Amino acid sequence: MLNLVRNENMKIYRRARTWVFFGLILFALLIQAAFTLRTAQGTEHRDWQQEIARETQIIEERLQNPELQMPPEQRREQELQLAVNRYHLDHEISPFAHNAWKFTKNSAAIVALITLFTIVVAGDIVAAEFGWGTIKLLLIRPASRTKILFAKYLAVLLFAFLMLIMLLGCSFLIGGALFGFAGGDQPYLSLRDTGITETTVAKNALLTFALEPVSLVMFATVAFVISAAFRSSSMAIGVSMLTMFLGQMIVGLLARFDWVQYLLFANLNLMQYFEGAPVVPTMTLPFSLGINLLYFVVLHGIGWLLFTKRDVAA
Amino acid sequence: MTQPAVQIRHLTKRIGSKTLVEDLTFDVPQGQVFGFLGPNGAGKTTTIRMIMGLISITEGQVLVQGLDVSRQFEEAMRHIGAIVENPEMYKFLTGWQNLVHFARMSQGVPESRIREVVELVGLEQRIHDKVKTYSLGMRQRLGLAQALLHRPSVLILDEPTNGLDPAGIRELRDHLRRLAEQEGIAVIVSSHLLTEMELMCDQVAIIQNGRLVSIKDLREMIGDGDELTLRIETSRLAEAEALLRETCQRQVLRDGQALSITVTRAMIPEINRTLVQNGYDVYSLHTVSQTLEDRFLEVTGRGPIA
Repeated sequence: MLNLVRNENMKIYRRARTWVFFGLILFALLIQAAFTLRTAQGTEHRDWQQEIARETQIIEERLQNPELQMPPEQRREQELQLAVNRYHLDHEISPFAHNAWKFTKNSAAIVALITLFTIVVAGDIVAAEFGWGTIKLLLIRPASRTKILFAKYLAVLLFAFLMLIMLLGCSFLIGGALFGFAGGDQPYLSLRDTGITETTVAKNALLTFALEPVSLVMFATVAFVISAAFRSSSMAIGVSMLTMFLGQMIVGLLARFDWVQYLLFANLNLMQYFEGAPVVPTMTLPFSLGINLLYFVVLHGIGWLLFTKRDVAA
Repeated sequence: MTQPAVQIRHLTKRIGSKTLVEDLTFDVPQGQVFGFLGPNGAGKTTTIRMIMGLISITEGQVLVQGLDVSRQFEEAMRHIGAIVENPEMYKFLTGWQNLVHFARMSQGVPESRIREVVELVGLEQRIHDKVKTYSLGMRQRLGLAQALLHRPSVLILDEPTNGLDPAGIRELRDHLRRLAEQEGIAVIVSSHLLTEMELMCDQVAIIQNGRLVSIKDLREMIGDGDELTLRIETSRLAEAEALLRETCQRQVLRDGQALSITVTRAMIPEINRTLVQNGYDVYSLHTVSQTLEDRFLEVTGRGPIA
């Protein structure tokens, strides 16, 4: 089994494409660093305390004005902003200041890019063997198809994990080098339907990195299963990317229906349980994890069945 | 009596209402090159892929060294090495990396064995180059190397000479014959190239429309009573022709610069004596065996390919 995974790794990392992916992740991180630096420089000379104080005053006035019939949602957002601003004023910490943790949290957006690359690798890993014709040499070894499929999936997860670790490590180091490593214990306030919740910046950054990979794994699974079942890389990669881009939109369109909560896409973003509100108010974190698990098992079941039972004819 | 390397029992493959292979039964003995011959679409590839587990078996059984391919897949596969059509390898890897890849999939293939196999197929010079830089002949050699890595007792080649030049075909043929004779490996080769099969194989199974039509032993001893075609090159061709027609009472044909006559084996020394005693210069005298092509057409007829 270990040897099978080593083989799959060899086939992933001996391809130039894989190193282009790693390079692009670093490149995206550098762009983020450049932008963050520019905005930091833009706000450096301003008197942030005066600016924030003014903004705080405007919000207070607005909240107290009974003529402004603010919808409750907007009201809560304003209250959140008020709380955040007051914290910064009281502790004399500039909201425009950056640190390694904030930078890391922001770099979580690059996980989308990792998802994209993982989809490419996952969608290719089985189908490419059919495309190359090597599948005929691969499946006539003393290793069952189930083992080969499992090894390939493990290799995909390892690849995604490696990319995530690299992103997390590099963004923390770049962020720290540019803006200092201190400040992880600063509070991070976020709005929940239950009110404002408080955590630290460091915890929030790590939480983001712990939850984002769930959707990454699910998209990788979709691509992998299509790859194994239909033996077509382009179909696997195309369909997975399409669902990645359209999934959130579909959920948005169907949000008024209750059954939307059973769709995979409504359960991929687990940050919805820590910031903002879930798609359907009754949804909980364990519910979403359960739905993800269900899709995971069913998808793999289909992929396994088709990969192990279908003839290798052409 | 030793157990045959591969036993095929009532092997049948149906897809929907179409029967691709029907009730095939035959044995492949150890140490023989076994040819699998048939027109395109006869079911050769389907049968070979069922032996290797690439295609599921509808009915019947394939035993490799006594192991059922469907039930004991991994154990059975330990004995099989194969090249399926043109050996497709990972082009972005070197030849060596490709071999390491396949060596890892079998148990007990040390690096020394990989080196040994590379030497055997004569790829030492280029083994650390990427496969995409290889010529077809080199890929064929690498294909043979990966098939031999784990010392299989059964070697399967599906249309191995497709796209090979004559030198490559000859090289492959010599390899296969040596493997069968010296290492006792059973070799199963499928092809539609008759002359190739004739040179390579000990036995040939001819299949048509998914059914076994005939099994021929090509190394059969020829008895004195068997009819053979004799080709004779001699001086004074026209006179010799008349002489032979008279003495043998057989039809004699002019075949270019030679004569061709169908006689029994026992008559050959007599023909030679007659010619020499009558003062003819005999340059050559040899039998032309009935080609596999003749037999092939004989058993498969001229029916349409279906």
